[in-house]
Amino acid sequence: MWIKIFLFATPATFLALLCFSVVFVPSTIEVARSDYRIDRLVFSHNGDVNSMNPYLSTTTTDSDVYTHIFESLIDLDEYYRYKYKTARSMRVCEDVVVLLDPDQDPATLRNTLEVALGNDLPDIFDGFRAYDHEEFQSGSPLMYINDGLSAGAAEALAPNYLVFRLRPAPARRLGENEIPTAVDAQIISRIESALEQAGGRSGFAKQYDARHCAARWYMHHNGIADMELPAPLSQEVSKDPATVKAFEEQWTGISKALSTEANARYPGVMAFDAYLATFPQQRIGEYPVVDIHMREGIKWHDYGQKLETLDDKGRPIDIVVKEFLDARDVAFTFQFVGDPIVRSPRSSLTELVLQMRLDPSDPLHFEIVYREPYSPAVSDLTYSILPEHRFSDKVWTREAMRKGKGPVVYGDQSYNPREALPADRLDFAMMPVGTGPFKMARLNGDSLPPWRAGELITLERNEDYWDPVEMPQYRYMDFMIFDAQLGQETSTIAFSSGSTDVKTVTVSELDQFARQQDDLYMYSRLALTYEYLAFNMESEFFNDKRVRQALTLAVDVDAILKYVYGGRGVRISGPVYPILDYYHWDYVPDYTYRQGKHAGKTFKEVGLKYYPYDLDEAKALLDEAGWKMGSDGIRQKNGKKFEFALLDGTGETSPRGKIATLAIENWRRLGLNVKFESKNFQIFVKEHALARKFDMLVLGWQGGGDYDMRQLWHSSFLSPRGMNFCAYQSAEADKLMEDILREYDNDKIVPMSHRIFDLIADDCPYIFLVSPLGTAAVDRHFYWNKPQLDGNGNVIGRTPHSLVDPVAMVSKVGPRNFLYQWKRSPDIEFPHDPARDVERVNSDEARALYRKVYGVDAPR
Amino acid sequence: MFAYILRRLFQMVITLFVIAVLGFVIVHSAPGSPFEDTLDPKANPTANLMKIKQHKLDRPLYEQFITFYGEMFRDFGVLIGDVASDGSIDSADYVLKSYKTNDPVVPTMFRRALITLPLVIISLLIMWTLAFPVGIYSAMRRGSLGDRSITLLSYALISIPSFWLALLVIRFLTEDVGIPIVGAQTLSVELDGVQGFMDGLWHAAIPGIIAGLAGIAVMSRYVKGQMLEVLSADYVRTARAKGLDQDSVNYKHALRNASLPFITMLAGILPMLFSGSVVMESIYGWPGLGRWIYGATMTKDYSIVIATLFVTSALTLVGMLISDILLVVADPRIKLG
Repeated sequence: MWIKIFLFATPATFLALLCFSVVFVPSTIEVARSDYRIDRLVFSHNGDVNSMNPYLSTTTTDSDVYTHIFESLIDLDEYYRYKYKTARSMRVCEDVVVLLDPDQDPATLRNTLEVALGNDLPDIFDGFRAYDHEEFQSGSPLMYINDGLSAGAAEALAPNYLVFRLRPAPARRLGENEIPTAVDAQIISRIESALEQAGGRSGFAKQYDARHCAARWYMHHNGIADMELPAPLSQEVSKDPATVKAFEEQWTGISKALSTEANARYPGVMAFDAYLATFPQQRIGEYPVVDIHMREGIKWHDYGQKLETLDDKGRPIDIVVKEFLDARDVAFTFQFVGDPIVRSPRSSLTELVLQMRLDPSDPLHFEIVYREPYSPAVSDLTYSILPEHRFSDKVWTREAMRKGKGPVVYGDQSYNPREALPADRLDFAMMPVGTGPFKMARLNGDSLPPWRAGELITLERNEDYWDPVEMPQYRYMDFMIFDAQLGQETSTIAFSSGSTDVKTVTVSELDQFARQQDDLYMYSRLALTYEYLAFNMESEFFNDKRVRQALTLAVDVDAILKYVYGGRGVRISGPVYPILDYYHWDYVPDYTYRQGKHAGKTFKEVGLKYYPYDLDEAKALLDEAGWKMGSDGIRQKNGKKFEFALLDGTGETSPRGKIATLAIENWRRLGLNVKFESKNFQIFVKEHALARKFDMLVLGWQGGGDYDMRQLWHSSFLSPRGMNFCAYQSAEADKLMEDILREYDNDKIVPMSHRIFDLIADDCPYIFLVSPLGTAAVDRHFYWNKPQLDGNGNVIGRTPHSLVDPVAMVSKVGPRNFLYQWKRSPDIEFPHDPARDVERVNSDEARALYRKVYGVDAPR
Repeated sequence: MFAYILRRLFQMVITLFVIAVLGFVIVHSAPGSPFEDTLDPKANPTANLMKIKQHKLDRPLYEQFITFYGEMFRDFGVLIGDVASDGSIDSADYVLKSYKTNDPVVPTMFRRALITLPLVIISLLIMWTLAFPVGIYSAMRRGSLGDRSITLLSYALISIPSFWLALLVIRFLTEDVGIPIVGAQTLSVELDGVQGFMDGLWHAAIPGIIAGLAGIAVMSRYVKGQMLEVLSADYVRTARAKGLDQDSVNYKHALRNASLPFITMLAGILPMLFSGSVVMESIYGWPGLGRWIYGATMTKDYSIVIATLFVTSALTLVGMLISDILLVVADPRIKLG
């Protein structure tokens, strides 16, 4: 009998218990409105957070969190322009280093140059300084941290240099964030022509010959009496192989003689060939220098806290950290990232950095010297700064000891804590220390990691945050909680039920969210993204520009914008994200009407800024290009039918699939037979796009807000080497894309980028479609908690309020990317009207809000 | 008995080796690799090569095989040592890392399995405790209205995809009724003590029940079939003729014999306890093992996929062994041979 009771009673009890548990669960409304939520903002991630060390992680799930913890020297504002962060001021200068001959007097050359250039460039010289090599290396008065100039040959190589600094002119526009620059792309040719004009007085031979110069310095340093050196070969003679061979043999002899002679005097001295290998190949070197003064009094999050380390004898001790952010931290960050033992995925950041010079007299002043002019490298300064004191050898060794990886004997020279305990195993990756507005919440002072991959991460407000402009935004928010538990599938439900506060809205969710307007606010903003249809310009169909134009004319972009993106997007006409300054708004496609009422008129004359949707014009163009309508309704040329496939990597129901469907429908009307083929994305990328095995494809670009467009458009970056899979080639654009990288002055970069934009857009390598707006939704409850303050600024209560100052309210929340969205276009209504968007951003009201929040005028 | 177990263990090792080789080869021969070219103009072209080198993916397959399983078994040893000594599994000694996130695979697997456990236990308990009474009821009231309703419901539950049902339940409970069920506990509130426990129970209950529903339907069909077969057997008639009361006949004599086939099904419990349900974890936002494996498969994170494949296979084999031994214990007719 008891079996029967057991069999039936067990499941009944069990089910009853499970159902009873619901009594203890708070309702969604209680969750959303609970006191617990007042000061907290909950985000959900689609992926797990793995590491909080910015230089060991590459995922956006990680960076969404640590962006609140760490800070950088400069940051990007809502228009992706630079703005100062922990840097108080910054300027970009240029060190021009002229190599002297042994018998040249630096003072004479300096005078020569001053005379030669003085009238030409009265303002830009910061003054000349002559260094001998040792001084240049050791860098008085600034010292060098990361020396890569002539590694391994420092002692032997000691020619004299004349270094002079181009000084930036004062900022032209008024504004705190202007970065003065003085990098002159033409400086080398100007100096060379100045030297040429000065002629014999400068003592320079017309043609620089590194071997010749090196030999003279070699003799100088090794006390070898002047040996006769062969004069460089002239142009005509160098074409004769016999002469060249004899000349090279002569040099081989000299090289041997020099080495023998030097060895006789100083046994063991470097051989001449080795010396030559380290010698500068250019007489004049250009080294862009970023000169930075940092803000003072920025405290690290662990300021005043205990830190485990070792004393001089290797015994564990606790010290109290009193650390402010300074230049050593920046230098350390570069050193850490570049350390091959650390194996940072971002190690390429330091490739261009030649030296890091600290100023012994001012801990907040330093210079970064770059190997060569490459202006986008300045954007590397937007990366996080790490605290040097958390990574010192002693602290690292202490942690390694705690984890059983310490040295056998303290002071063992072969022991390197970075090798023994890899950086990603340090507690720092779980418990980061930065200077940002939020810090990692500790669990009751416990030293255990407060979270694990896949779990809840809690950040708490940093009471000591320094930034008086940003701080008010965070003032009433004590915690930000990042929830990595939810998958993509459930994030929408979690958001609608009030469990999370912020959600990125996808196109397919727009309608659903629009119906919930009472519970949430939606904000849209231009994002770093655009969509396009790409031609393979090597294909027999599309090597004719008229065909590409015809297909462009036959795509109804306005319909795509309306039906695929719900009107939330901006039409584009060229290869740049429209939110950037580099986008050329005044561009008009270079096109003359072939037929119809506008026949013979250009777009400019008609007043068009984009290719209109005009099937008749497209047909006329195809006829002109020789693609005549065949009897079967398909156009053909020389017996070849106009049939191709439009490739896609995302599937028919995705936005790109819909774009393709709309485009193909129109092309059919022109008499083209187009198939839609959707592939697995990996295969689409590898076997079609990068392999250039396609006629047309539909794709989009995202991210990367700078003006280095070579990867996509330069002829040397044809895929698979680069991403130039439409095989675009233009010598003029190539040249401009290279020149723009040597230019540091934004006022010159912008027009150059516009010119590149025009050149590429004129050739129609893509059909440029739209830049969809990024949309975020914020739970309305978040605005219901406006704090009431007493006279001393303490919170005494909270009252609901409507969204009176959207900019202020929304900018106090949110990760950086959301922040931009809100700042850019506060409170956009749905359905979206792009015209009103622009109006609102520029309205007096919005500008007043901006001023109120940021204390400066919003950029126009 | 001892010799039998030894022999079975020896067979298991061989089977496992074959599984290890096959699994490794199949996973590696699938198209693509964890480090594919991406369409990122800013990507560092050498980074992928560096990673391929770092994870030794450029070595011959047999070398990778040896390194991989060597590292895996070493890590299992470390894990056992860690758990035995202080229960903390955060030491830095693990060598086998995820290719994508660089997380140590073995301890993460262990931790994730612990998260999955409540969900699976609830779903198994529901399945096993409900299937028997329902099946027995159907068998004894064969042809009644109750039996026919249960049959109809069972076929409905077998046919309805559980993910669809799960989504409907979420929609109904969170949006219409207003009770949060997504996640392993109610998000964005602080609950402790009894409330915290009950809250956790609730969050495991719904996905557990839904995951178990189809199982109940299938298993109760089996139970019914077995019971019907046994009830018509001679010895049951004899027992009745002997004058035993109905419940003794049904629950003592019939049920015991009818349950024998289910001991075989126990073999499946062990691997299921470990790997959980991918679908339920994805839909209900559980940070458990199933979702982890699913994510790893999608991103071709070889180390996670192969390691979990191996552990699941090993557990399946162990489960089979245990159920065979149990069967011998329960059924005197079966001899070890």
